[in-house]
Amino acid sequence: MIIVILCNAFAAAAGLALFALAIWVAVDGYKLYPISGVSGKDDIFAGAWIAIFTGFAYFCTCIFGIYAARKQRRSLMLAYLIIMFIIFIFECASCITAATNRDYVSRLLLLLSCLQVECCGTDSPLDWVEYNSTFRQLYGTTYPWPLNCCKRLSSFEVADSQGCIIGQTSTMFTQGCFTHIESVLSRYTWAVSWYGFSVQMFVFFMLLIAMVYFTQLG
Amino acid sequence: MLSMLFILGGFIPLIYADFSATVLTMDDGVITGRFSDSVLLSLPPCDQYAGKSVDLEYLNVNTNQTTTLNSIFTVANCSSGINTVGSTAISRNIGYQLKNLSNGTQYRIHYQIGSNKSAPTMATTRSVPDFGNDLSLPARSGAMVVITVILSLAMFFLLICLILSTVMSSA
Repeated sequence: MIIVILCNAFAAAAGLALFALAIWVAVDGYKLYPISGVSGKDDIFAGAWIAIFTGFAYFCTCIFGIYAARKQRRSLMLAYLIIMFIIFIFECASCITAATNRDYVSRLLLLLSCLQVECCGTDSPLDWVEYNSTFRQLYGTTYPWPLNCCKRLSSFEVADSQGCIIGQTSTMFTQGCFTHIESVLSRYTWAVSWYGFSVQMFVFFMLLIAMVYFTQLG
Repeated sequence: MLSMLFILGGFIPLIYADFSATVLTMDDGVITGRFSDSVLLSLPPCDQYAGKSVDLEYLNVNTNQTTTLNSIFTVANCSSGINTVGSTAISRNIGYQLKNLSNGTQYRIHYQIGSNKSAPTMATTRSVPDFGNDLSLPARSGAMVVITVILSLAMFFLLICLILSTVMSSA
């Protein structure tokens, strides 16, 4: 019984941490959602939202589990086991969703430059010139790349639009967005997917111990 | 004797080619000199040709069609460096942008200043392929497979144990 109670206490803390971590990802401090949302590949955030639910549910159910173990009632323990199993399934979905998002990120998504980060294109501004894109179809070849790629003054106006159109390196952001976005995406994926997975492994062994305790209660 | 004449004759075009029109690169301070419908070319040396009017001739290698552009610009003095005003590459003294080209085509380009002809340069405009699905990350990572397999097995095992423990405790 002591082991079950201790494990549940630890799992409750881990669940609460998962809840907080998932909120951090969902809040999206790195502003990844505008980019990933446009391409439709925003599963990392879907995984985060599920993890918000499961993290808090783990916390509540583990407290219930401490109560059930203390009361030594079979019906309570059975209810606890079934609820934990259901939450386990949901958390599996969260981990898998978050992990798969990483692989389905395409370079098309990364072609979008963003204002917050001073970058242009996936690897470099050349991506805008080398490949066909909606931007090219809309604006033709007058602008080789969006003006988001141009350096700006503190007033957010483009510093030198003509130089940017010609391609003068002194007037543009020449680094690609891929490195930045990839690192942010990896950070979110590690949070939701891998921490969630480690919580799952702990809960798995904890549930096995709880089941042994449950059979002993009979 | 004849072979000597042939060899000397082969050098004749090079006698006039004391400069060349090269396609600009990152080293020249631009992102690229090759676009899909234009190329950025370097300017003739200002120490020899300042103030002279420049013609340009280019040959489309595919169609074998030659186009000549007369008096496209005047070579600036060496004292005027690259400036930050002006709406074109030539007005900024960066280079000359040869426009109205076809994409994915090879061109043979040379300047003509009076009787001086630059060494020809080959330039290919960019072809613009569509983004295909094959431009995603080339391989799936193992993380996806590991997480799915392990969690699925854990879930299945838990289910079996839950059923067994229920049966055993009720028996």
